[in-house]
Amino acid sequence: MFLASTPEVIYRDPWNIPFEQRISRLQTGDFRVAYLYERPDTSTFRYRVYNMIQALAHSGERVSATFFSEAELDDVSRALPMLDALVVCRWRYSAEINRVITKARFCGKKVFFDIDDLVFDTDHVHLVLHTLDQSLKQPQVYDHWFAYCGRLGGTMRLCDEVIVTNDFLAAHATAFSGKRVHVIPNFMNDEQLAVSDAVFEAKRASDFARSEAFHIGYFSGTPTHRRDFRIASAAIAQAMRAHPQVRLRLVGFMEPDPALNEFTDRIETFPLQDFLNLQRLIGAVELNVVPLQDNTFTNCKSELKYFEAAAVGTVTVASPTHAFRQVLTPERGYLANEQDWETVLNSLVASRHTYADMACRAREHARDAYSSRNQGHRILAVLRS
Amino acid sequence: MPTDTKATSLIKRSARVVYRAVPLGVEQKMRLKGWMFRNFRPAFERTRAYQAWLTYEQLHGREVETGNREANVTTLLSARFPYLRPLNVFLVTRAERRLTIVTDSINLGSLFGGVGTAVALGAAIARHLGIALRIVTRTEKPNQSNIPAILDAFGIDWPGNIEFAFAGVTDPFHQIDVGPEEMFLTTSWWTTWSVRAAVGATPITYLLQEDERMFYPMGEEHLRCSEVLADPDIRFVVNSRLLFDHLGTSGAENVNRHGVYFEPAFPRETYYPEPGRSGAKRNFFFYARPNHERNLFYRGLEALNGALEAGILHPDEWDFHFVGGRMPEFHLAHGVRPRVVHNLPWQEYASLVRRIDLGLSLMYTPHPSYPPLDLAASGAVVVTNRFGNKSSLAAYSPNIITTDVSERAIIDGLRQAVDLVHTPERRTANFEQSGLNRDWNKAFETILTERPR
Repeated sequence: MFLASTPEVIYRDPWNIPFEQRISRLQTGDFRVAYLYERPDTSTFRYRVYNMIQALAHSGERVSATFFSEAELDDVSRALPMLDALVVCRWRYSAEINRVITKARFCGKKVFFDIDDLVFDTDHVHLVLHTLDQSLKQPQVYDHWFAYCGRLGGTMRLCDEVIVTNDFLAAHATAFSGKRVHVIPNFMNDEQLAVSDAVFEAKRASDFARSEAFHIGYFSGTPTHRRDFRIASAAIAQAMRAHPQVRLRLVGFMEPDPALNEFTDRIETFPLQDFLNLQRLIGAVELNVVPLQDNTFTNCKSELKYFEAAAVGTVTVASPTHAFRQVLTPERGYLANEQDWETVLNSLVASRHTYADMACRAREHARDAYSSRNQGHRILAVLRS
Repeated sequence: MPTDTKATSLIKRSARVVYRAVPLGVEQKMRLKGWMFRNFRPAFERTRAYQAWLTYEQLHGREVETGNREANVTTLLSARFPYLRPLNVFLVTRAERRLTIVTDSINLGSLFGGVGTAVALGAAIARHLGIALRIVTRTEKPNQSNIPAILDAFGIDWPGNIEFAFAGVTDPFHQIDVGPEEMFLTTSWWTTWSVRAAVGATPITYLLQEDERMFYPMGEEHLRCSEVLADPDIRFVVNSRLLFDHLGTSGAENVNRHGVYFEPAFPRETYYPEPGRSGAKRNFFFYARPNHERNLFYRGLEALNGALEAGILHPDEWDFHFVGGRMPEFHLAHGVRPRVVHNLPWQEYASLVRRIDLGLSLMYTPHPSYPPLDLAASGAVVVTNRFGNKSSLAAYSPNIITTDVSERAIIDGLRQAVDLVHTPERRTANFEQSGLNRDWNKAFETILTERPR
């Protein structure tokens, strides 16, 4: 574990901005964009709405953007004449959203549908359920997921164009909707980068000083990731067996796999964290593991687990899904085929002398490619297209 | 899919240990089993053993409180043949084609010759077609890290990802996704049956490495196995010309009509002689699997013991290694205690085989089986038995002595073998004249070109 530490961040959702402030901010720019999201949260909303708005603000262009939620749809409808573009983000079909999109399109406003997962095509529902280890015994599970995906697909079809996170997902969105699809990858916001910079600088100032314990971190610890984690669990258990100094850090409420039962005294579990303090926990471990199943659904996912770790100087090992194959070059991290996790983990635990170099390269890459300060023009180009 | 609690797993494991160890007769053990199943039903009701017991009880008119409705034919068949239930699949749209190998297990206890061959063949086919590869296991969750060593030992290059999935025989909610052009490589008649029941015969290539009818007495399993062998829509790939010819002359001509064969290979990087240190004892290898009838453990033991008693093998000259399965502790003639090894990782097995001077490996079926060939490829002299058209294995190696399966004949074979071990020039000359295949890529060439699709 890295010895350098930074103080805990007192977290508050940075998007708690009153409606009046948001509406007046919207009127400051020459090009005005409204993002719609049902209820702000720390996952998709943060990446696809909050971060996008922040990036547009950093673009240096005279663009203003804000967000509205479900309770504010009537206000959105009234504000439509002043808008130039509307981005509807992962919004389930309803009469109300249909009304807003219909009006926007009739008013000549381009409407984009933004989605970050393959959850708009009911053809893939069974695969999604299987990947997320959902119970197939309960009819309500099918009811929920077919409705969820069907509704998202329904909203997508109402919009003019689509925005997604990577080109693998883009191909599926194109095939489903027949619409023009743009790629805007996920990236980090200023708040996340600030905390990450502090974590990294503390590590660098200490020359990446470490304790005897070697920490492997898994930061997707929810039950929907059980099948993913199982890909590497036997290999992690073997690494812990072979190397008594190895510890496992689990963030989330997933039960550790039975393969790890004999090592419970070396497993640290943390509850789900806010996105700022999560960076501190990631920064403390030597290895961030991202095992993923290899299928159509998982190949649509983004590489955010890489750049979040890279930003705090932590090296990543990931399964070779589409996004990670693009980004995890040998200079920045490691890919592990499902049959090779044991070999890869054992070699990484045993040999760490190139760590600092790789961590620095990955961090530099993450800040260049995944910062809100560098994305505004790209987003604007899409919205103006 | 709900997994066993710790308590349930503990009950199941303890029950197995108690059942095997308790010194009771069969009838008493059945009563004990019945007591366990009645009183701890939730822990066992998803196991094959429970389903078989339930059917047995019901067939004998004994009522069992199950909370379930009365069985119909489908449920009875499902209880009697749980491993023949259709593989639980769901269709996905998938751009990339894939070959799925279906086998019982790839874990240590299962990972000898046959399974390794299946993995190597599957990888070779998938590489030839430029498609993805997946391994699905049915009785044990797969230990993925066993595979790279297998592919390495077979000299089959596979740099990409291999997917793994567990589709447990007894759990109906262990599903696997399949694409519209999924291909399957099955490894036994029961995995073939299960896959065929799910997706039909057309996508199946069945790797046949033994006359599996011989696993059974004349009855239900034998019948169903025969039916699979008679399916004209399945493609068969048969391990060895001996087995291929045997099947063609024993009522399985369909396999010849719709199949191809290959000869197994023994790469020089893994199989080579590793002579012992000067002055050290020689090493004797007995393929010892008491729980696999066709390996004739007890016949081999009789013969080995007889050879010791007759002075053909001297305890001062030989260390004895019994390799394959668990067995109780015992001693042979002259107080010889063999070293018993089982569940050897692949590399350790190969390392042991390289140091063997003489092996005894019996197989009461037409297939040569791998241990005699492993041993001969590593420079050992081997005694094995004839069976049907398996009259001589000298074409593989002149160091393989094939005898009748009587105790006397095997002892005579051991005498000849010991003489050969004591004649190193002849032993070495025989080794160099070996007709064994040494390259799996060459071994599979015919399969890749002749196997349709």
